[in-house]
Amino acid sequence: MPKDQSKIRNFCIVAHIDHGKSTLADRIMDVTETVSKREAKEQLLDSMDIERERGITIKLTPVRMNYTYKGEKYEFNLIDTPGHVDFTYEVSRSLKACEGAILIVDASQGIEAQTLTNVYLALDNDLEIIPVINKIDLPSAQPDEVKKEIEDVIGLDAENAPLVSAKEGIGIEDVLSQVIELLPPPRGNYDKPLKALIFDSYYDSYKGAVSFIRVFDGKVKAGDRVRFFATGKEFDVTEVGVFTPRSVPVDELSAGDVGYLCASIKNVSDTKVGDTITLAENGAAEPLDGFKEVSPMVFCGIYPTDGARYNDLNDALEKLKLNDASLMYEPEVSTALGFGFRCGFLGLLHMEIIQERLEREFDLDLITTAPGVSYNVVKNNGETVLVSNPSNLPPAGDIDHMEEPVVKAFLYTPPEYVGPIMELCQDKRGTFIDMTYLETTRVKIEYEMPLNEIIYDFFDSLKSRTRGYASLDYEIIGYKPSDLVKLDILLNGEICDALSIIVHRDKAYARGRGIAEKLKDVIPRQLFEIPIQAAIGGKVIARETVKAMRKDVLAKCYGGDITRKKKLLEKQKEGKKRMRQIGSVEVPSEAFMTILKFDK
Amino acid sequence: MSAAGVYVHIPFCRSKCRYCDFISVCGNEDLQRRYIDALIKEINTGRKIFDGDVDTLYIGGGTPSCLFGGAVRMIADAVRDTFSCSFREFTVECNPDTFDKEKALELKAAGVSRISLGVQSFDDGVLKEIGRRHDSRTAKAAVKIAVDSGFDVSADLMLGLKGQTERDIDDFVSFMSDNGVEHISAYMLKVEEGTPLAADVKNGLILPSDDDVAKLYDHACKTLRKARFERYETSNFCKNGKRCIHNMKYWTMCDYLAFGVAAHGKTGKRRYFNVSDIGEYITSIENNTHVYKTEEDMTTDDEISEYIMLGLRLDDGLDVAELETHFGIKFKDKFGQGLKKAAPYVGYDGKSLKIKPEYALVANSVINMFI
Repeated sequence: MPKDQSKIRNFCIVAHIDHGKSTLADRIMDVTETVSKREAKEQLLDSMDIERERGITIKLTPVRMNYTYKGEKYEFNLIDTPGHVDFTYEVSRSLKACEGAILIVDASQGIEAQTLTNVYLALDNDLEIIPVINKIDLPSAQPDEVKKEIEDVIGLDAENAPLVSAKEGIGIEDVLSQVIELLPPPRGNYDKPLKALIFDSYYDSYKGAVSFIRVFDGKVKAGDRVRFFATGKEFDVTEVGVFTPRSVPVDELSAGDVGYLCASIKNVSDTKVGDTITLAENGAAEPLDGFKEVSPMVFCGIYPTDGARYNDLNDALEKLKLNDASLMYEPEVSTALGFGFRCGFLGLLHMEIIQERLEREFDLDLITTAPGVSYNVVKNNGETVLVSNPSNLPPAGDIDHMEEPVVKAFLYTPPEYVGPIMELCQDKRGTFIDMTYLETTRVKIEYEMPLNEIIYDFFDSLKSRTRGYASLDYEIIGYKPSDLVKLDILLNGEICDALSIIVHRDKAYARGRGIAEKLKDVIPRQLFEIPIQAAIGGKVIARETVKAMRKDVLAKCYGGDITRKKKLLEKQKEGKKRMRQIGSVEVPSEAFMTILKFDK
Repeated sequence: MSAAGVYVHIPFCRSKCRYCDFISVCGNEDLQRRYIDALIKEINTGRKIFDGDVDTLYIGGGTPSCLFGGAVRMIADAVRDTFSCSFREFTVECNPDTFDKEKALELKAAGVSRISLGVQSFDDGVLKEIGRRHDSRTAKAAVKIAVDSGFDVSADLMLGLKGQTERDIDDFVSFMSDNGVEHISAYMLKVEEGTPLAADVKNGLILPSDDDVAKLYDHACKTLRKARFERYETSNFCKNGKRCIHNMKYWTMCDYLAFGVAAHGKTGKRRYFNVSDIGEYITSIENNTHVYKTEEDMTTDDEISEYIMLGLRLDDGLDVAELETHFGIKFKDKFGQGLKKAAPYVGYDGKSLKIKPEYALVANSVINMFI
């Protein structure tokens, strides 16, 4: 039976961190009596610890709610969105699943940098946007100023924006009535062949890979045989359902619906975000547009601090991969660090999240090497190899030239920071493309820039130079030839492979010196003098020295001192476990990470 | 089995030095008497934990020389009455400002054979800065009285004090050597948490760096060697074989009994230490309750690593032969990897393992290769 789509509203919430997205979502669920408050907390948005701590949402959790307005029953689907540039593609897919968005702005803080990227994404996806002023209960609330700002900066009519305190439960009904009045209902065609967009997926140990879908046209039910456009694979649907937010099976999902689909799919990488599902027989001829194969752009080596836990790390990565199709990993061996994995991520945040989850959820101590990108290496014999680990670079004599990934970077900023941003981008080997005033208070700057420069200290620099007001978005535009060299670090005369990086020739000297200086601070003094050298090929370009330790002994060691001394030695031994033996030198695991953070 | 040593802790000082983190208070005679009574009561129960021979007694502190007259004898008698004793060495720690002819006579009469004098420096400015009550004149006088009274004398020298020069060390060593002192303990100053000195450092006091202290230590070793003091442990030097017999027990895993507040003892595999609050100590004893705060039985591996840790502080080195017999292990098998790693820093002839003299100050790093 076709559903009355005019009674459906699919929407998401766009907000800056801390502006109250989760609280408003909770309130909306209260009002629609979707779940109890306690359940809401436990089960709903931001279910992972890391998400809650970082105030960001990584996994998207759609929730179906029922609401009666003017005697009519409506069905809401609230789709949550992650809030970081690493996940821009995921955000764009979940926005595509909606017809509208609620934009929350903090009544005391106004619009902030990170809000804008998602607002623009929402506008790009033709979403209707309802601005909402939150936290009006705060003494510092300035709703009128904030309304004006929304109109000036984003260009949205904010005159009727609901004034809300999600915390106090004020104004929630206004928001819901605007959702019904202002957001368009879905306009799919029930009778056309099935077209359903996958906007996220997760792995369930009983059901297999579960896809979160938005049905645009047609219908799907258990027993249907479906085809995934991107992979061409076919599966038999075992269950369709909705989230309340618990998963509840339904008979059928049809045009306009948001829900989930299970088909005994063993691997989440078969349920690619952005892919279109149709029926195997009499399916749609064309997929929905906008599908992109998401591939990892940032790579690093991950090693267990304790080599004996290699298998635990392997198991942990396998488990995370079940739920995260964009995480890639393969075994690698480092002479310095032993057995570990080369891992690929969507971006730096994605990398940090995975590391943190490995450490927290699987209780692993990790050593992580400096993140890098993958390079096209064209050899003299015409062969091209893709290299993401500097150690795997062919000998310099075999290389004809190298190419590095280049992005188009979009920076949004208030005009006063244009100077500092351009300076930063030039410094990061950027090529200026364009600059446009979006509003009098907002400028969009476009640069073409090596990805390598973005993952290396770009965000921190951007943030500090613009007091957090600028935001960045980027898209990969391809590989371009570049004069790259491998920079090696030698400790006591031996190359430490885990510290090697690939870097542009013009930057090599400064990076080499910076790393050597940093390592000098990080490597503790040992019984002998340790030269730290940075070298390109055989040529040393920077040198620092860690002097030999002169004294570590306790002067007194009598009765009571003995236990104390033993404790001290045990502590030192514990500390040693976090050390890696590189040749004769003991290097603390932090060393491998600290080398990437300095602003020159 | 070799005889045990007895250590007795006296937690009283006339005032507290700025670097000191030992348990001590400026107690009045009343408190002293109650403490000594409790102490003697504790000593009298000592046979419960040990019934072998005792051949050294070491009364440390604190400042034992600031005790009321007769206290040292009372303690010594209690030890003699409790254990089967024949003291090869009976040391009392004294501060120059509480050590005079009268004290010397009293201690002599109590059977004391050795005086350890907390001189620390001959620089009056430095002495004042660290909160010592004596000046160099008093210290020199005390040294002479002790030697003249027929005691074996040990003097403490502190290294790493603010403004200390090599010259200060030379003066100290030559005075001691010329005046019959045959034992010197040279301690590098360590800033202990919670001490007034630690607060001074936090407030900007700049002490010599580790490297500077290491240089002073090297200089002290050289000067002491010239004056015929041989180093036998990281911080201890002696002439004519006058090692401290009691302290040697700590480093060769002999048994030692400990009495008094916060005192640490070891009998066989068992280590124990007493409560560290004087009031609690006294009341516990008065009420016949236990004064051990902690007792632990070491595992064999604990014992072995302790043996190595302490043995490597000695210039004679770790007695590997003894270790092998005692624990029934083959050192080379159990510590082959450590031996390989430590090779540049140690001498090993199959019987003993010694840290090379030039690495004495980085002994912890070397020890860590074995434990």
